[in-house]
Amino acid sequence: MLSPKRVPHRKVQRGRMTGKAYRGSTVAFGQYGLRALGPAWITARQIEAARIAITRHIKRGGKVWVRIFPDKPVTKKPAETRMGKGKGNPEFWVARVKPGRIMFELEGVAEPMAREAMRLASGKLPIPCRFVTRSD
Amino acid sequence: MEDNLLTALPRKESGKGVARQIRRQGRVPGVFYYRGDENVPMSVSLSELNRLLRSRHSLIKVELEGQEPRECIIRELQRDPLDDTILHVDLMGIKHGQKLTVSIPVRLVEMPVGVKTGGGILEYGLPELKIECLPKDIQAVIEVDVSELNIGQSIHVSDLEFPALKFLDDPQTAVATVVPPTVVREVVEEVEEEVEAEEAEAPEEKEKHEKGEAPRKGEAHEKGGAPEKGKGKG
Repeated sequence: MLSPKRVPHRKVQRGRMTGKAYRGSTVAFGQYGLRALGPAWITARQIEAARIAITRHIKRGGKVWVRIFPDKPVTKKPAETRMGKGKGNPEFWVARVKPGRIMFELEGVAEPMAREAMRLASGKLPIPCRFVTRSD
Repeated sequence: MEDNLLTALPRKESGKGVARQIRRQGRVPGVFYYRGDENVPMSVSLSELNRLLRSRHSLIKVELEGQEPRECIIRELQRDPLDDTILHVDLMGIKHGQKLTVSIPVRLVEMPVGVKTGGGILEYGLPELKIECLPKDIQAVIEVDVSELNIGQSIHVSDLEFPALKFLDDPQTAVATVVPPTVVREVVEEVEEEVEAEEAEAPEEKEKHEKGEAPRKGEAHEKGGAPEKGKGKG
């Protein structure tokens, strides 16, 4: 799974996610892409599951790009713990994804196959997604 | 009416409220500028602009209210990241005989030999090329024929033959490359091995983490599992 090698701070605040993704919102590397239609924290596990779904479907040939990276640590307090006593422990990593963000890109396969691969990938993600193609 | 004519209405006010109002009326806010002159905030019809974009004219004529049509190029288009509607347009006036620097998208045409026969993957290098040319030579897209590319071969900026255009990108930068296909089985095995290895390392990671390192996979199971009795109560 994806995770940063080093981080400046082990724990960070949750922050807010408003607006749309104006950066990273065009298909830049491949021919096809998967665009997020809602805001979400996508965990490293979800990214990995979606990536595996794509690569297993296209079998051979084709190249996949993952355009998001989980660089935000999320903490959790242990179960049945009283409030207080400080912030919980970092448990997993998430990528902050705003609507419009291209999360995955694909190249080297026919469009129907790319469409199906992206459909399978979107099933692993917590947000609605749309299949997009590169515009000239 | 000329095919590449765009009628623009000047607008006096600016700001997001005004811009949204203009967009609700089926128009696109924009700006017209020309070297040495003052910028002219204006708006154009969305349907007219879409028609122009579909026609792929590189040079357009903009008719500002009460003025002679002026030749210009679409310097920038801002689009909505969700539905791709046009939010703003920049029109730049041009002067004949004066060279311009513009970015033009690349389109790869024909299927490479390496893809047809060897199962390779065609990769885009640069999505846009920065060029210097006269206004009359501006193209909507630069079409690059990649039919002769075999696996491992590339077309670089220096290989492009367009006499009227001067490419400003690094000549050694690849525009298109045919790379060998990836085999998925190896990737899957690697991932599974990684997961197993990490599960085995999990207790060590917990110790490391308590010393102040970043979180790793597998910790969620350990910490979210059986809570320590007697700790945290009272």
